[in-house]
Amino acid sequence: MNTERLICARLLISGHLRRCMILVYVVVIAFATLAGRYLQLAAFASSGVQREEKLKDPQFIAEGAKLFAPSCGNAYCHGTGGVGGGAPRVLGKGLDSAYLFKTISNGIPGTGMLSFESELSEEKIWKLVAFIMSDPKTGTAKSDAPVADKPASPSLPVVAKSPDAIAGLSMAGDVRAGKALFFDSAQAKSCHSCHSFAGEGTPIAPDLSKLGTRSARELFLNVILPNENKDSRYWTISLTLRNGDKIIGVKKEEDAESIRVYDTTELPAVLRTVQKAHVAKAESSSDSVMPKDYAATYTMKQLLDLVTFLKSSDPKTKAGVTLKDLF
Amino acid sequence: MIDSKKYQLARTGSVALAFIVALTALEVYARAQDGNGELTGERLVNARKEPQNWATYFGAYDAWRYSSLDQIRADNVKNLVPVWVFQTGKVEGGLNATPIVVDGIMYLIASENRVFALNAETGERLWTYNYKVPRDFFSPYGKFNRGVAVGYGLVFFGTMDNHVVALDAKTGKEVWNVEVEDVKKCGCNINGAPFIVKDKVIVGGTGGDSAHRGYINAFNAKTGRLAWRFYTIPGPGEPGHESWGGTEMWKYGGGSTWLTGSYDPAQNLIFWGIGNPSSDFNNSVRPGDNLYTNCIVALDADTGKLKWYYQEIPHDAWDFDSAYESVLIDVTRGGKTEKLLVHPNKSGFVWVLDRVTGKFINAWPYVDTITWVKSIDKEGKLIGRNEPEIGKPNLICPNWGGGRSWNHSAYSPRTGLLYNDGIEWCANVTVLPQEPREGRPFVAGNVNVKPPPDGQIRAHLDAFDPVSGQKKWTVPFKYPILSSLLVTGGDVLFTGDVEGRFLAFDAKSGKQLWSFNTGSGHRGGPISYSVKGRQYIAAPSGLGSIFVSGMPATWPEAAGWPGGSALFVFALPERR
Repeated sequence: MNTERLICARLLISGHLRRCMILVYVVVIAFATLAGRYLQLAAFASSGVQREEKLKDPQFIAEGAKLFAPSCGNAYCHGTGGVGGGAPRVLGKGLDSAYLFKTISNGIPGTGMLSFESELSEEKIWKLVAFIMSDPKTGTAKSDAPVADKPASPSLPVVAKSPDAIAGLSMAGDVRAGKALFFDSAQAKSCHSCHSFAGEGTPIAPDLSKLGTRSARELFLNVILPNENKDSRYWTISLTLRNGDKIIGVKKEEDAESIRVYDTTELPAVLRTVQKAHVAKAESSSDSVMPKDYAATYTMKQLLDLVTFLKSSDPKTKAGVTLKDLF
Repeated sequence: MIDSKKYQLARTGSVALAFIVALTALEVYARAQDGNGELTGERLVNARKEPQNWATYFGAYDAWRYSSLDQIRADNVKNLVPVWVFQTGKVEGGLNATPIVVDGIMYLIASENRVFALNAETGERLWTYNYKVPRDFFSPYGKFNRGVAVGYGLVFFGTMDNHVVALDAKTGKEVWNVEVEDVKKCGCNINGAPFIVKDKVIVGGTGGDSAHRGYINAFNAKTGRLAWRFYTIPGPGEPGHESWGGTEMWKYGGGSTWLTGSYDPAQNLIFWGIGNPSSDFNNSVRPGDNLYTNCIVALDADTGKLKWYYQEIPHDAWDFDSAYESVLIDVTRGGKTEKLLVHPNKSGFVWVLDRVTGKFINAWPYVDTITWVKSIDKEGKLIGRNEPEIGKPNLICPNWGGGRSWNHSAYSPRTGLLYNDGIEWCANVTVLPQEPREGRPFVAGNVNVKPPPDGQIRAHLDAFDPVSGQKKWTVPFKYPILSSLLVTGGDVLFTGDVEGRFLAFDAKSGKQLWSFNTGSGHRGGPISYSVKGRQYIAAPSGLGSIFVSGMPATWPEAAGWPGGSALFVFALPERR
């Protein structure tokens, strides 16, 4: 808490009462959430005996079985009742509860075992553990998939409303809408075609999750006025080949014989390996290959959502971004 | 035909004739070498005129998997001997590919996108390309690969992490590489063979059981630049978008394009089978027909614009993709030649369409046990749909693995028959509603494999009239056939079984003529080609695929079957 207090004090001194209050609010909420989860888990894990009993509770196991079917049991993965999918058999193998909890939470990198931490609460993960540890032959774990109550209505990303619908400088950006825009695979000029965010996307241009500490205004300007970015690694290279072809893009690397260039003429970009002997002319300029028309192709609300998403990688700006922050 | 004559002459034993034959063979070879320079779009249109090659994934644009070479015939196939074997060196993922042979060079792709160029006569390795396996990478659709495309001096393939790569055919060095979409984001990748039409290389992708929106991409073959993209699910404002009932499911509805298309040069149309809608088993979240999932689409090869579509199964609830091959045949009936498209579907039916208009002609069953629908009427309408229900297991036949897996059929213009395999099996399907999370599995249900009501789980290899579906012969099998089929001008049908035997049948009668045990099951595509006048049969051996990894649940003994990844090449003994 000391760091936050310090920041808050600094903000107060510089007259940012509102930001200080937001920070306090965020910290309190975060602490309360964490504490709640901790207490919940602690209550469950406090006594080994208690936990063991809970893991044997038929109700708990049955709930785990319900969760297992759609999340883990499809035929690509562990199969009905944990048998017969493409992934290893997990039921009735005597797997350890702590191992199961950890594996379900974190997944196994490089394999099909995905992380379920963000999808399922800790209690639900424990229920899965209980089901997987249960004896498939006792009847507590059914071989056929259990009955689901009713079809869940799918929850979908919030689609940004038109800017007309939400007027005023207090209009807040929507992280989820910004993320959807960043990764919109239907748009060739979508950010992810060149940038990555926390490792997802394309690594031609910088990973933008590292830029969250920049101000919202700076990020906004970077999006709409890309030439202001002067990092020479991302300058435009233009190669004219001896056969007359022209390649415009960003250089990735070169060796004695060849040069590798991300050709950005069409997106997705093409990493082309060009023999130096085939190059008639090579030019480089400080221009960025980034499209320069985002101010025209995106609405103000979309740009705000995008900046809000970019800012979301900075833990200090969880409170969000409003239109006012862009100007 | 030339090859056949040479062979017959050589059999006379005359030294002089043999000498002339040798000279002719050399001349044929030299002409092929001269003619090549490189394989172009134009040369590919005329691939049937170069029977020494196996130029595309299906052999030619018509997807027949037929070679007109006739040196190896029903009456001498028993003399086949292995002439060389190539070991790819890694058995994980098996060997799912169909090799390509162009002018005496074979191009083969193995799991994890390892590409090899081989001397097709000797098996000598000319170069190897090892794809850099990404770290912390996973795709539910596997590390195996079904094949490369060759043209314009380049070798094209899709990768397990969703790139398309072009290699220099002479050196195996990378020329271009484009990431279609981040595999971590889309939950999709590419394991089908690319397809060259004119100056473009056309590539489909997986992702049909993930929350993903499918597409077909066409790249400029020489530069890798995207030429067009056809989304298999229309976006807002596009015709067909309304078939998703106003829901957001068009963004997550699958429609993958995981196999390879066919091409009709006369119409300049590409035909591609589109995969199932997701979530696979819960169709209540996507009210409507869900275009263009489970469709055959006909696209203009230059622009990717939709010319026509035919939806075989609207509003699918069974994961019965329309992704399998579109076999293009012309049939003369009542004095009129009809241009047809014959399309085996996962559901146990073969659809027959007019490939000029997209009109329905017929749908006939290739398996005995079908319960997902009562019948298909004369207009192609599904009568008596039997959909899986939420929370109540429902016996559906065939099982979601298909009345047949993706391994391809073959068509012989000599016999006029379509050769195809079938599996008699069912499953209790339970719908388990699921919420879409982009790029994650979105199946929303589960299957529990069951025998068909009339007996044991079983399989068969059959010959059919491609239009009426009348069965000409059948050969029973204990296990599914997972190798593609090959039929030749010598009226021999080749395939392999899952226990490792590579098999030859009389294409006219179905009589088994020969077999050779390769030591691991067959999952790839056998081909035929010739070098210097000698006909070869190449058989990929090596189990491994999504289907194979699920087999032990139904056949526990399958867990013990050895993996492999080797190419066996056979020919008749050389006359000396």
